[in-house]
Amino acid sequence: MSAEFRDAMRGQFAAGEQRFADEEFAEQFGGAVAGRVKRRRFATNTAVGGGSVVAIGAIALAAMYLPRGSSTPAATPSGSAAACVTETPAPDPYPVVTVPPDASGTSFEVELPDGAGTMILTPVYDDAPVMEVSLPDGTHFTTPGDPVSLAYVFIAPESPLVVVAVLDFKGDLQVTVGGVDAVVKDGVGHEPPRIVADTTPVPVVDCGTAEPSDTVASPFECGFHMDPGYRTDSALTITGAGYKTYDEAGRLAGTTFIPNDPVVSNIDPLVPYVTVVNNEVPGAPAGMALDPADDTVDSLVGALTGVAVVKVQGGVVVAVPSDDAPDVAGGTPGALVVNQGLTALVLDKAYFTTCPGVTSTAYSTLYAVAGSQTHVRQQAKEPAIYVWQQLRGITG
Amino acid sequence: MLEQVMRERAPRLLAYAAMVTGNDAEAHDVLQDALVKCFSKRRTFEHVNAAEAYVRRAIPNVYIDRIRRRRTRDTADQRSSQPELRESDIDTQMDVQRALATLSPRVRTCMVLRFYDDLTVPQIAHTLGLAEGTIKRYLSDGAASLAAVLGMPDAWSGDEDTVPVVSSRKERR
Repeated sequence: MSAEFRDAMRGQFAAGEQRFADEEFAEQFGGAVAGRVKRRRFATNTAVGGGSVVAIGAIALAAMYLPRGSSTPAATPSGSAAACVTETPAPDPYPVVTVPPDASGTSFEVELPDGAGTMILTPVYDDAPVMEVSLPDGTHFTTPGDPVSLAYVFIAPESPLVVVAVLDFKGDLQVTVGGVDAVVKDGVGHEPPRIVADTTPVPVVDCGTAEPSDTVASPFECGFHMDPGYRTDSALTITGAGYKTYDEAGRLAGTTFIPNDPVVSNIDPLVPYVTVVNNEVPGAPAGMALDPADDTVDSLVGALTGVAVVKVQGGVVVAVPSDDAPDVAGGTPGALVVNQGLTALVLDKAYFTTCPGVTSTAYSTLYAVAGSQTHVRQQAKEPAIYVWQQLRGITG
Repeated sequence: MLEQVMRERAPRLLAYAAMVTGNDAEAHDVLQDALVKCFSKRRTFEHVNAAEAYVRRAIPNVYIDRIRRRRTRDTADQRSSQPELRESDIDTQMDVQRALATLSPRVRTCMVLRFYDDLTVPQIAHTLGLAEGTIKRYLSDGAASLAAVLGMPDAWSGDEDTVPVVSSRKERR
């Protein structure tokens, strides 16, 4: 019977194919489909625009336009409320210069604020997108671009400036430096109309803050004061911290993930991930969202590695993994995969629990955190090692 | 590649979408949404066959998403807009098509994935993000409904992967 039913279904497919054979789908709907694809790519790649476009793109990119320091004011040890920017729309438009489709490798001059000189940006997008950067002091480096949004975010060495460059689907390069729109000159020295950034003081609201954190020593815990950017240790290395598409995450885990209230965007959902390698004890027991210094692991002897993603706002951990975050691949909200290191995937917003006292994490930043601790014998531990790294370009 | 898929593979994709949706008009909308979803992320496909397969895999999810959004906007009975089975339809394919059209969207999608795409229950569960038990129930319900519509005894149980289907033309002979 099953075979008969399959035959009937295939017959129906063939009949449908014949029924639609004379239809000029491309002529009737091709323009509309292509237009929607372009708009969606644009919305994904930029945070500029109105209405639904902002709703799509701003989630992934809005935090990148905030100046370092001013956007994430440090919380005081006393636990006073942290200032938190409101959802005031970003000033627009941004300075834009068009990169011709065949202009991969073309250099662009970017005038830094406050007379700090000129930075040279050279987007290369033949294969994996990268941006070659030359600073006024002669420093050269290359920074990777996000393969989905083609956004490049980096902190200039020895500088407090956060640089955001977005190459949209039309080939327009938009640059923001330290939260201020930068003037971009194209490869032949033509200067596009300068756009004056909106300098209106940004109103603030009370986003709350975590409980006083003087005694918190673990980045896995609420209230921990996080040094901005990253912290490294030779014993423990974060080899990857960013985000993947659900397809990529599924391939990594050997399964299929269905977007369900994703962390980053409901339109083009991405999966925050972090991969960590324990250099001293490869293959050590590990746990997703597990603080290796947690008292519940006292009975273990040997090294233990933990990895998680937390939300940081105002330099303080404001959301941590839920206690019931599952530690098996394919589970929701979190998944654990061992693949040349320990990889944690954050599949769902339910992964996070907001810390007590925090009323909003809307402007938080995602941080990868990892820890390792050696248990010499029962109840005897060496000091825990913690490392962390900001997931660039992803807001909480 | 998007242009090539639309020009060369639209009939096949529309036929598949029509099976999933049970409605030719909705098949057009679902295919457009699936194309937008698949080509908005700068994916590269080495061959149009790969692109077609990718779009086809997206169609069931796009359809289920549309149903979810529709339910949010309007809780009216969705089955009311679906065509009724007409006694004058005597062709087997038309019977199957109309029988599928009487099923609820999720049940119909499960039936297509099971009996056209040959996916297993766990694979269907992964694809649609539903529990395996739910899929089994949908398949059982779908088989029972089809058997009733097609005038056949309901010989399929949730633990089996077969469903009886006989053309009503044969029955009338």
